[in-house]
Amino acid sequence: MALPFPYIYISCPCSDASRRALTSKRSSRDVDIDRAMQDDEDTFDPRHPRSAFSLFPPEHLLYCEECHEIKCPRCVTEEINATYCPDCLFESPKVMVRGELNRCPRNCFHCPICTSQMITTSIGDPKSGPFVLNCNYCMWNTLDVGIKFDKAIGIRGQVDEMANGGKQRPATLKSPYSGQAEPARKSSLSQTPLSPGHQDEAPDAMDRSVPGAPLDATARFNALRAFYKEQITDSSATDASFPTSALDMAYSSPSSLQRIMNIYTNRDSSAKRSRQKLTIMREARTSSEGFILTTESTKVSSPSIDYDETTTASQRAFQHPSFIGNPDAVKVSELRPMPTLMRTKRSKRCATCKHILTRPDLKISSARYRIKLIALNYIPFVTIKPLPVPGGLLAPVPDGADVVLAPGKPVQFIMTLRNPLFDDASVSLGCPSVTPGRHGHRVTILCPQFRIGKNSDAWDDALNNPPDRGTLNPAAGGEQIAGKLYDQGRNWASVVLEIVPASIVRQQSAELDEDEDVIEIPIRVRLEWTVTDLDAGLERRKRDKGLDDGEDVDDGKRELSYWMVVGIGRVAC
Amino acid sequence: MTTTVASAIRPSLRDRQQSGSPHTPSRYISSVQSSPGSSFLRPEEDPIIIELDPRGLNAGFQGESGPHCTFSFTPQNSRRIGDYQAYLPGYKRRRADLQARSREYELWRSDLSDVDLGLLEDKLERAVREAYNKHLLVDAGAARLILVLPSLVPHPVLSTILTLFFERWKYSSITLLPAPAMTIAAAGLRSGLVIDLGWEETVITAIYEYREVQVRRSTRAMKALTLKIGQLLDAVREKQDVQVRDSLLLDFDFVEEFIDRAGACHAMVMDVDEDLAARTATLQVQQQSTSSPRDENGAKLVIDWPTETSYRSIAVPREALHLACIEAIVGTKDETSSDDHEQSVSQLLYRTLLSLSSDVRGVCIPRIVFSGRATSVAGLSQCILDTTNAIISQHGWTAVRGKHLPTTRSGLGELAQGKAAPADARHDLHPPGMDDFVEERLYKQKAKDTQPAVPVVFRQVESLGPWTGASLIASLKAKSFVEVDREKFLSHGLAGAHRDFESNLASQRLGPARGSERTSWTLAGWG
Ligand SMILES: [Zn+2]
Ligand SMILES: [Zn+2]
Ligand SMILES: [Zn+2]
Ligand SMILES: [Zn+2]
Repeated sequence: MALPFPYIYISCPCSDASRRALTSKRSSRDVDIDRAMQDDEDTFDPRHPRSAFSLFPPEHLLYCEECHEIKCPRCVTEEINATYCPDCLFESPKVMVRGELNRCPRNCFHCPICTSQMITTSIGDPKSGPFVLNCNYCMWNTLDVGIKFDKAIGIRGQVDEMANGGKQRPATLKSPYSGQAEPARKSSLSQTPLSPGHQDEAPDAMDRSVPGAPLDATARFNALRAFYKEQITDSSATDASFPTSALDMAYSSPSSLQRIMNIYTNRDSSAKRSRQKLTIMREARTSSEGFILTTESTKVSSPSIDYDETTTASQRAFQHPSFIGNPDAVKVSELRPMPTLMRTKRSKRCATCKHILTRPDLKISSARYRIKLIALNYIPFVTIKPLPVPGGLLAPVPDGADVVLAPGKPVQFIMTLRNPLFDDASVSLGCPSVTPGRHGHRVTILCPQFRIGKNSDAWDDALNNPPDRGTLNPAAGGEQIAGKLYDQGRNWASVVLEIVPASIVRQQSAELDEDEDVIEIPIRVRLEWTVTDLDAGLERRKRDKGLDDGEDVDDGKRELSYWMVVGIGRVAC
Repeated sequence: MTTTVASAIRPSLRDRQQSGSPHTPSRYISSVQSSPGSSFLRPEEDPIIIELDPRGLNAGFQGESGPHCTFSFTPQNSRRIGDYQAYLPGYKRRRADLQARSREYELWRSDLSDVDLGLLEDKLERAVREAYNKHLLVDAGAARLILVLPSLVPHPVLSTILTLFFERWKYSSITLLPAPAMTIAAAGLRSGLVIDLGWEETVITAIYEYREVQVRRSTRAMKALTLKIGQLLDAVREKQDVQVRDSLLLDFDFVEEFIDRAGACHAMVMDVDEDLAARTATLQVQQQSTSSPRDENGAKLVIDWPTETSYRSIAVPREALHLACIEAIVGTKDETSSDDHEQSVSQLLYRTLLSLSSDVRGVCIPRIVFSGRATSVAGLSQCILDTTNAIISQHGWTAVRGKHLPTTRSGLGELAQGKAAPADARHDLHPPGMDDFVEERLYKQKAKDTQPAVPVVFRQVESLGPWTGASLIASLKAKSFVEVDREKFLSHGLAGAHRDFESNLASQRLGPARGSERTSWTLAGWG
């Protein structure tokens, strides 16, 4: 596992198959759900492929105060509040983002080879250039594809205009249809940077293309669309002479889609009517209409190239979209530097009740939130360390070294739960005596049920408790007796967790599956508490709603249960 | 009535109302009725197009020439949040059985017996969420959704996909578009033959006027090729020195990347300039003779083979790659053909053409469109067409096989005659006899833009792919057959789908009858 041992994951209850069975009417899947429920009744299996999608580090989880539920990224809805470049922190207004094709409109680029951020460097005079984009990680630079810049600013606009090799980019096609063509999906930046009118691209932008240049995907798309549109308007115009069908043939009327999608006509008379209006459309024939034979395309004509000149699938994936990069690049020399993908700040709402869970600070440079209901303010924070006994495991050091356990030898860990609530909570922990999966490790929690005190402030604590409370007392605490806490303090309690790792038997040649030797313990956590001092906000909300609806009176009783997965270490083998 | 509300919201709808068209379909209105105050109240945003197949997802905005992002269903993308171990130094790539491993790269497969629909939902949810959050940068579910799907999706899979989209996000309706027809549209064609060299299956779809008229499939596809090349690479590895051998990594990612890159180098399929039939016959001879026209270093492809720490230069024989490719996908002309699902692609292509009526066949042969990942294997498509050509010239268009049967006419000659019963003017073939003024007009139209008839020989047309086809068709305000309404789906599920595709199709073709409201939706080919 990537996280150093020991680690904690929590499975969001929204993924619980049983929960979903209650709320959905998916008849076709009843069988699966029944089966899943039976499996699920007993134990959560962290190794099940589905578990990877429901397990989250606790700090990723939120809590809805309306539903009294843990909320994960899957059970919230999100709304974008701001869009910014993560490299230069430039914020783009919402209306501009699409026109900038969701990419940084300024100078930020990433390397098409290794995806690192690139740096603008002068290859001549430090002030007057020319300039290139350089990757300091893999040393690729834009000169490798024949691109250099006159100015050190507005790089995005310059790149958008340039094809690899430094020539003007044939982004659109000069065709008889160019007048009526929709604006090319070309960045707005190639005109005037940050001009709001990207939708009304000037017609002359269309005419700048190089005649005879092979059509790139975008130019071909525009040619095809112009062609289809002309076909639709043409055939509509002809049809206007037919009184019966004239009116519904207007462009963009719903029947034009029938024409596009559904034109197969039989010779029987009933179909003849549709034939009258539909058969006029033809297919594209020339490259100016977007029609290209494979033999004409560059793909075939390129002679053999070396293996190390070819692109990898991940490099091509990084080149999307085709109107910015070149996802069809066969050779490395056809790759394009990619402007930085913008990032968003989003608020999150509970998908069930729409209650707001997080709202970020709108200032881009701030990483703070104006609202953030993190789950760790409601559920205990869990830490694990080895029991300090002579000859036992050493506490993990932050060098990332694996914790390795000897098979068959019992090991004790201290698991501490810290209560963030302002009320006492009762905790009940359940775990299978043998972990699920191929290698059953034996597990015992010596004290599965206990209470943890409220998170009163430290001043209260000092008044109510003797000063030595909360530290390990070798005489009274530190006991490893079933049913007794190992230790406890103001708002925390420790229990002993004993593990007997199973030995992993394998054939000499057999290789272990990834993380097959990792010991992970699923623990069902059940919390109960009563909110004594109902939050002022809650009170107000109740008043607003009016108490007359009766049923909604909050008695303050809270209950929460979820599966937690504890990663302890690896078995030696 | 809500129509007035709706027309106030949507100008285009109001226009339609005012035109007084008797054919105004009421579907938009009904969806407004069923979900008042939904996304229709927002300023209209560009619909989102998502193309989905068992290996990956492409997502972007309608009207754009390509998707904004692509997402592969890989084990890497199926890890827990916070699990970055694959990116850490010292991460060990494991040599796993390719066949078993490949399942982790599939969202679903045609054999559903071991497909966990819950896992499918988990993977798809994450992929779509990531597409919205990282790439599309718009609020998920606010705009309409257009889903481009393979023409055959198992029912439980389709049901799970739609349920996820409707329950997780608030789409008011989802439009389904079939990938093969979109591939045709993105080639500028209206009819043609789509050969999708997909992952699990090669699917050949004959499209006539955007309708699928014939579909045939075979398991001779990329998965078979990947396993085959995996064996071949393993054999190459075994031949290395002991200390080299054990350092060489051989996993799914490497094999797949090797196919892509070797394919791009023209190493998977050798040059197509010589007659393929002759070459396959003499392959064995060539293998033995060192004096083949290819020079020494040309016979091997030198690659950087990944090791646990770095790379190592290893030579892979091109001839073996070519043979593996022929064996896994293309097939030979002399193969005894059966109708099972393991036919070679060239036999499958021949069989498909054979089963078409001669006029449709005449339209399809000069309109071959290849799609799928294997299109990146340089020369493969031409190799398939050459082999099929050899089959045609040997057997013609008769289903009966046997050497003693005299082949009086060459296949293509017969084909040329076959177009005597032609399609129509849209395909630049001769128009049929003029029996009414419509035909007359058609003829005039044809005369207006005269084009030489396209000869009936194999001709490959480039397509921008199904995603772009959908973007094109959707931006022309075309409406597909299959629009799934949220409320109806959630209350009735797929069972509520109107299965009677043909009758529905017919009624739609003629336009809905005056005043009738379409209350059912159809799954068309997916039903
Ligand atoms: Zn959740
Ligand atoms: Zn930036
Ligand atoms: Zn780099
Ligand atoms: Zn809620």
